[in-house]
Formats: sequence, structure tokens, C-alpha cells
Amino acid sequence: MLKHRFICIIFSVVSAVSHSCDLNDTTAVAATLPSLLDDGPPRKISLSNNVQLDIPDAEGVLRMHSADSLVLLDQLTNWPTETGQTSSIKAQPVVLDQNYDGIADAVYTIDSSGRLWFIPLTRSGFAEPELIADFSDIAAEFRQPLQLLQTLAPVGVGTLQRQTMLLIIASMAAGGDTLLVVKHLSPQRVVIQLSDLTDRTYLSDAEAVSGIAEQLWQQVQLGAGWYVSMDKRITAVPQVYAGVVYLSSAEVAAVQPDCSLAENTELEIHALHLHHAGAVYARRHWQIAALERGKLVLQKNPQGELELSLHNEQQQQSVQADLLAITPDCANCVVALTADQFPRISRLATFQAEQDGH
Amino acid sequence: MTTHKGMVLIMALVFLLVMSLLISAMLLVSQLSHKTAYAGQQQLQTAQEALAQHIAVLNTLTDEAAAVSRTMTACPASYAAWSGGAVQCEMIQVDTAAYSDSRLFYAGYSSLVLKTTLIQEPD
Repeated sequence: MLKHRFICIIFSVVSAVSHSCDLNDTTAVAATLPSLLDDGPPRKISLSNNVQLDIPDAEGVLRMHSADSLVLLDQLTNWPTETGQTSSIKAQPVVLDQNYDGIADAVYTIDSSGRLWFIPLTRSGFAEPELIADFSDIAAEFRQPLQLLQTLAPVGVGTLQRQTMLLIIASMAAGGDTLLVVKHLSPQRVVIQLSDLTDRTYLSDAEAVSGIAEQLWQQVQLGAGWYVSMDKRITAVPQVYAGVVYLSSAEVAAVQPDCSLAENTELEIHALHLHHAGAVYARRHWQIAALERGKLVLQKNPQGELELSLHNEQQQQSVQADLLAITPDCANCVVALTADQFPRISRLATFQAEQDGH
Repeated sequence: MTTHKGMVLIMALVFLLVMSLLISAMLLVSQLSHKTAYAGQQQLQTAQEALAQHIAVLNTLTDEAAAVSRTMTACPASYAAWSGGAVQCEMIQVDTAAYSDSRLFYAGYSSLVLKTTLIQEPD
């Protein structure tokens, strides 16, 4: 009887997780690698995970194909774990171009149990993977696409440091999704655990009134990232506009596996500060009427003003006008984000040309 | 003997006087002193005008002003970061040059500029 009940619980947990809608793009991730010859043109490649290889239940595998000829260039099946394997990779990986030369330098990928891998790329393919975070001790499935941001993050009073930030969605077995933001700076000495991230699920009353406290802000700056647990399912790939993380969520039971929503469902829009998950607008989340399979986009409205909206193939729905951008002047500092600020011109260097110099 | 010495001295003085007059006249006619005095100043003026012109070109950056332009695969890291598909960045080199009215002086400036453009979904 007990065994039967246990099986029922397991089944309900698995079915709850497997019902989460898949936000991954169906196509393989494209990247560029240097030529095998010293002076040859860069090679276009594609990276496929378990889902794209149609082996979702197999152990974790990442394959690199030539984008032109589809020839297999390299594959990762042997991972630096005790068993030499990692769980199935269902989340879309992301590519890092560290020096902005258009050539991929590394790949980040996460397996379905929550092991986050950093895989440097070489001329010939994958180098040795490095485990940078392990969230396998939390009962969650990691199948939603990774998102990568290159940021200048504050690390103490007035100092900004270049870091890579990864946005990860964990579909909790208990229901609801958790958004994790992990900072990575290579080389990294310790494997990040959930306990290394600051829990920003709830804001104190004081923070809701006057913004994040200085002590907490310092703690977040020196930490490995933050996370926000929701009792809802994330329904669109989170988007980061001017340092504000926007995402939409709905009741877990209302989200169908194909990402459609049950009738009379309300969507919740979240807007979080990228660096500390605090509120950027008057509220951190608010409700709007549902739009099925709506993707978050930033666009100009007919009046020429920028606004956040939800788009699907048939409809679009305004979510937020009067957008804000965060600024590094202080933890809670924001400025208006307007269309006339673009295209934005930033002068990086000016030098005087010399002619007939002796 | 003393008379000879006096004559030599007078001759030398007269020679010096004549030479001084000649050189003064030459300087006056050729404005060499003027040119020498103002050469540095004019070069500075030209450089300053060229810089002002360069800044003006940067402020109203057009496609024609770009000597070299390269679209980046990812925008440089920033505090207020953006998702990959939301913005596009271009690295642009802008070259401008200016000559003085006499075309004897030249000053040229080059700048590296980052142009960030919003990528918007079609309506």
C-alpha cells in the first residue's frame, strides 16, 4: 500500500514537471568557430542537445555539426562526473563570445537535473567541460532555455566588473518555477550551489517602500547571484531590457504542455532589477489579461514611444509603457527609457592623425 | 696707426648697420617673422577647428561618415544589460580632416564609436 502511494506521488511529480510548456527554440544553436587552417575563413557550426538529437531520455550529449555540410565535428558524451555522464540536456545551450570577435569562445549548457557546465571551445571542437554550478540537490527539472548576458556588475563600492550572467529556469517538482541568475567569472574555483545565491523571493516591507537596503545590496554584490521562487509557471522566455528582467507567469494548472492557457487565466508580469531582483517599477509584479503563447517584445507604439508588449501570431497586447532603465549610480537608481535615445552613440576613443611627423 | 684703427672700426660699424637694414627690410618684405610667429598658433587653430568639426560629425553620425563599420555579434558588457536579440551594436570608425585657409596646415582626427540600435519586432 505504501509502495503504491509512493509510486503515485512519483508519477504525479513527474507529470507535473513534464506538463511545463517548452520555451526552447526547435532549431539548433548556431555559432562560428575559427578555421582549422591559420588563414581560412571561420566555420559555421550548430550545437544540438538531446532534444534536437531526438534522444531526450538518453544521458546528456552535446553535438557539434557543420552548419553547411551537417558533418559531425565533435560531441560531448563523457563528462567530468563520477559516472562520466550527466543527465539529459533539454535546455537550449548559449554561446559566449568573450572578446567580441564573432568567434564563439565557450558554450554554457545545463542538464535536466541542474548541473551547469562551461565548455570552452577550441579550433577542433569542445574542450574539457567545467562544472560551474550544481543545483541537482533541489527537486527541479531544468529544461527551459538558458539565457546569457554580458554585464558590468558591481563588486563593492563604485567598482564594476565584467561578468557573464546566466538566467536559468528551474521547474520545481512541487509546482511553480524558480528563476535563478548565476554570475560566472572564468576561472571559477568553487562550484556554485543554491545556498550561494541570495533568496530574493520575498521583499521586506521596508524594501518595498524605500528600495534595497545597503547591507543586502553589498551581500548580493559579493554573492554568486540570486533566485526568485514563484508558485507559478513561467510562460515566456524572460527578456532583459536595459537591466530589467521581464517575464510572464500563470497558475501552474492553467499552463498546458503546448504553452496555451486555460480559460479565464490571468497572466502575471514580473519586472526585476537584473543585479538584485528588487522592484524597478512601483510593483515587482502585476496582473494582465492573458494572451496565449505570448512572447515579450519591446517595440514602438503608434505614438512612437517604447513599450513592452506580448505578441503571438495573431494578437499583440501592451504590457507596460513608460519603461525604465537601471543606472549604476545607486542600487535603486533608474532613468526613463525612451525611443529617442536610440540609436545610441558612445564615443570610445578619439585620436589625432599625424602627417609628415618627424 | 691710430687713424687706421679708427677707420676699420667705422667701416665695421657701417657694414653692420647696412646688414641690419638689409635684414630688417627682408623680414618686413617676406613677413618671415610674422609667419614664424604665427605658424604654431595657426597649426593649433587648425587642430582646434578640425576637432570641433570632428565632434560635430560624431554628433550627427551618418552612414557616409563611417570609414569602417563592423556589426558585433554581441553588444559590449554594460550595467543595464540587454538580451541578445534586443539590441544590435556596430563598431564604427569615423575619420575627418581639416586644412587651414592657406592649405599649409592640416589636422585630422579619428574616433571609434559604438552605435547601439534597438532591434524591433515588425508590427
